[in-house]
Amino acid sequence: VQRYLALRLLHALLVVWVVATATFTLLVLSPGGPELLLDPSMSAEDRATLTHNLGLDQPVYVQYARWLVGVAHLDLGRSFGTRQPVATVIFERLPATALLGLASLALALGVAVPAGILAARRQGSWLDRGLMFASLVGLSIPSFWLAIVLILVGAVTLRALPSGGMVTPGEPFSVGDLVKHLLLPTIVLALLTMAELAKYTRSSVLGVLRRDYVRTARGKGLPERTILLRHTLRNALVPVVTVIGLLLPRLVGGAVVTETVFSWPGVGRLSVMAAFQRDYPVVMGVTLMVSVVVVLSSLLVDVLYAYLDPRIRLG
Amino acid sequence: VSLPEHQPFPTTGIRLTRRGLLLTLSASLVAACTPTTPSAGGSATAVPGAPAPTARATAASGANVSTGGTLRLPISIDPIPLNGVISNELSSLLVRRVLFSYLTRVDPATKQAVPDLATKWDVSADGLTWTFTLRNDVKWHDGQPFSADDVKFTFDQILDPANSSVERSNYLDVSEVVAVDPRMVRFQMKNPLMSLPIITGATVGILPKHLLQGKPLRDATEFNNVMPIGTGPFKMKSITSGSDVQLVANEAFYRGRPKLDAVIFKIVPDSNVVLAQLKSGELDFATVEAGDLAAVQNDPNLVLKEYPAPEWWYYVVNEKNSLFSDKRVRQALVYGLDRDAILKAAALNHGVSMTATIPSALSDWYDASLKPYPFDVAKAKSLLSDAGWMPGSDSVLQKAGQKFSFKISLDNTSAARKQMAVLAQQYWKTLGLDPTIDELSRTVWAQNMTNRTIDISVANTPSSWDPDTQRRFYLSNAGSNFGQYSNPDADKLLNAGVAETDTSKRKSIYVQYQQLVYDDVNAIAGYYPNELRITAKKLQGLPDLPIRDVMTYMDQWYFQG
Repeated sequence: VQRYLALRLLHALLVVWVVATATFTLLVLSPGGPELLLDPSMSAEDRATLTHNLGLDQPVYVQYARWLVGVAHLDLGRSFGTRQPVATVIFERLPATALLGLASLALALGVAVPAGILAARRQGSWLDRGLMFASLVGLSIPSFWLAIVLILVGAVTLRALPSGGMVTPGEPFSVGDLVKHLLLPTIVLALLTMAELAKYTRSSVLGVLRRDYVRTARGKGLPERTILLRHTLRNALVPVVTVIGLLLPRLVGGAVVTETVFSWPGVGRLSVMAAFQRDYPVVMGVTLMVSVVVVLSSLLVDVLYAYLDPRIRLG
Repeated sequence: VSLPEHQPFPTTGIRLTRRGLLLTLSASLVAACTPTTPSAGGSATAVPGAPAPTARATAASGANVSTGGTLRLPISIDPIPLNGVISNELSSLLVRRVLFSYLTRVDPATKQAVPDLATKWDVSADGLTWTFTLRNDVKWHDGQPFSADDVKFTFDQILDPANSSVERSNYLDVSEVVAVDPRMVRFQMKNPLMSLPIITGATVGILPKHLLQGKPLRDATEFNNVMPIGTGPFKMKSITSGSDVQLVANEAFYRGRPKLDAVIFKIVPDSNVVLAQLKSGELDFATVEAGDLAAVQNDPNLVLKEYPAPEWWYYVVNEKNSLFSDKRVRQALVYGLDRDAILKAAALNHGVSMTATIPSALSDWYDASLKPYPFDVAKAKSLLSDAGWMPGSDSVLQKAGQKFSFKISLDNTSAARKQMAVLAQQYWKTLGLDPTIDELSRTVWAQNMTNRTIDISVANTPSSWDPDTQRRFYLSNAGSNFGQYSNPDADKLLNAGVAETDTSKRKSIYVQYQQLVYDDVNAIAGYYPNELRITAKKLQGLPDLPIRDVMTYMDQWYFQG
C-alpha cells in the first residue's frame, strides 16, 4: 500500500506540474497584458519601470523558471495589483469558500441521498417521477438566473434575507447573521450537486436492489429496513462516494458565478477578478491550489473505495 | 444580464408594515438606550434592520436633525492599495476621497477649485511659481499635525521616476515643490500649468510624511493595504478582503465632525445586485447606467438625480490611417451619423449631443455657440466624393484601388459602447463604407489603443474640470492621443491655454480651440452623458457633483427621517 501511495503521489505531482505549465503557457499566449500596465495615462518610461519591477521584461522561460523555483520554496509570488503574497491573498479567501462549499455539500447530501433512496424504493411511483423531474429541473436552471430570482424574492420583495456578502458589515458578528447570509448562496450552489447526486443515488440503489444477495436476504424474510441499511446502502453508496470526491475541489476552488452574484468573499471571485486583471501570480496560485486539491481528492476517493468495498485492492 | 424593465414582484403591503413596525421599535429601543450610550463614535446600528436609528430617534426628539447613521455604498473590487501615488483604480479612489484630503476641491456651483487643505493660492505673473497657503488646524488620523512637509513629500513621491507613479504624467511641468514654511508650499514650474489647482484637487490625496518617509511606496505595506492614515472626514476602521471597508467619523476633522457616524463601502461585483440592494435598502447610494434605470426608477424609497458628467463619448479616429487623414472624410463620418438615435439607444437620452471634445459640463469653458453636426446623408456622400471616394462595382467606395474598409473596435464590457458601435456600422454602411465590428476583451482593446493599432474605436473619456485635459488627448504625440491627432494650430492653442494666467483670455483661447477641432474633427462626436445617481430618500446633503467630487463633501451628508 505504501508503494502504491508513493507512486500515486508522484503521479499527482506530475499532473499538477502539467496543469501549472499549461496555465502559464495560456497566460503568456493570451493577448492583452496585466491591467496595471495598460493605464493609458502612464508614460512609456513609467510603464517600462513598472514592467521591470514586476519581472515582466525577462524572457518567458526565465519568468517560468523563477515561478517554478518559487513554488519549490513554497513561495507563490506576489499579486501584481495589491503586492500581497499570493498565498496570503488565497488563504484570506479560503475560509469563506470552504464554508459555502461545505454548507452546500451538506445540504445537497442531506436532501439528495434520502431522495435518491426513496425514489429507488418506489421506482415508477408518482413520488419517483416527481423527484426525478425535480432533479431534471435542478440540472437545467442556470445558477445566475436562480441567484437573481432568489435575491429579488428573498431580499427585495420579502426583505427577509440579505442579498449578498457573508456578514452584515458594521454589526457585531453573530451566527444567526452568518446563517442568513449563507442561506441563498448555499441553495443556489447546492441545487446542481443535489440534482446530480439524487440521480446517481437512485440508479445505484436500483442496481443493488436487483442483486442476488438482496433477493436472498428478502427470501430469508429479513425486514426491508435491514435489507436496505445492511445489505443495500453500503454497496450502493460506493459510486456516490466517487461523485462526492469529484465535487470536493469545489470546496476550495469556489463557485465563480454564485460567489460573484452574492458578493461572497471567496476564492472563486478572486480568481475571476485576477483573470480579468491579468494578475498572473494570483491566477497561477489559484490554479495550482485547485489542481493539488483535485488530485488529492481523487486519491482520497480511491483509498475510500478500498475501505468501503474490500473486493477492491490498492496497488 | 439586466433586470426586467418592470418590477416582476409586487412590493407593497408586507414591506410597508414591516418597515413601520421596525421604525417604531427601533425608535423606542434607541430612545430607551440613549442616556447610557456614549454618543461619540456612534454604535448607531445596534438594531438590526434599522439602518439609522440614531438619526431617526434624534429627529423624533427634535434635537440635532442630522447627526448619526451609517452610510453604505458599493465599490466593485478590493480598493487596495489605498495610496493615490500608485493607484488610480476607481474603487480605491472612491475610498481615498474620504480618507484623505486634497489641496483643493470643486465648487458645486462654479466647478472651480475652492479651498480644502489649502486656504488660498496665487500664481506669479509668468505662471511659473504657485504658492499655496495651508490650513493650520489639520491633524492626521493618528493625531500628528499636518504641515507643508507632507505636501512636499507627497509630490516628491509622485515626481520620483523610481515610484512609476500613476499621477506623474499630470505633473511633468512641475520642477520642484518647496515647503517655504509649515503653512506654505511653493510649486516651481518648468512650464506654466494653469490647471494646477483643479488637477491637484482631482488626483492626489496628501500622504503623511512621518509614516511613509524612507519606506518602499509600492510594497504591500500596512499603510497601503490595511490602515492608511489620512486627514479626511472619515478614518479607517477595517478592511475585509472581498467583503467591505469600514470607516468611522473623524472627530477631529478640520471642518467639524462629519454628520454621519460611519461609512461602509460594500464590495458588490455584480451591477444587478447593486440595483437589488438599493431596492432592498442595503445600499444608500450608487451611480447606475441608463439601461439599469428602469429597475430602480419608480421605487418610493429611492431618489434619482442626474447632472451633466464631465465626460465625452465618441469614436476615436486614427488620423495616421490614410483612410481618415482627409478632414472631409472625417466630417462625412460625423454627418453620416444620426446622433439623436445614438444618444437614445446608448444613453436613453440621458445626455446631450456632442459638439467639440470639451464636455458641456465644463460650462465656463464650453462653447455653446457650436451646434452638433446635423444628420445629413447627402452632405456626407458629397464630402466623400469630393475627397475622391467613388463607388466600386460592389457599391463600396473606392479610391486608387483601395476599398473603404475598416474596423470599429470596442471592448466588451459596456452595453452603451456596443450600441454606439452597432449603430455607427449601420449608418456608415449606408454611405457606401465597409465597417466591421471588432469586439475585444478589455485588456486587448486597451493594448491596441496604447499601441495605436486601431482604425476607429468607441471610447469614453472623463475630463477634469479644467479644459487642459484636452492637451493629454489631442496635443501632437500626447500620451493618450489614441487617434494620433496632429494639428499645429490646435497645439498652439492648447499650449497657450494652459499658460494663460488671465481667465477671460484663457476662455477665448479654448473657444477658438473648440471651433477649430469641431471643424477639423479631432474625434467623431457622440454625446455628453449625464451621471445618474440613485440615493436612499433619507440621504441628504449631497451637492450636484459627479461621484468623484461629491465624495469630497461627505462630511456634510446626513440622514433625515
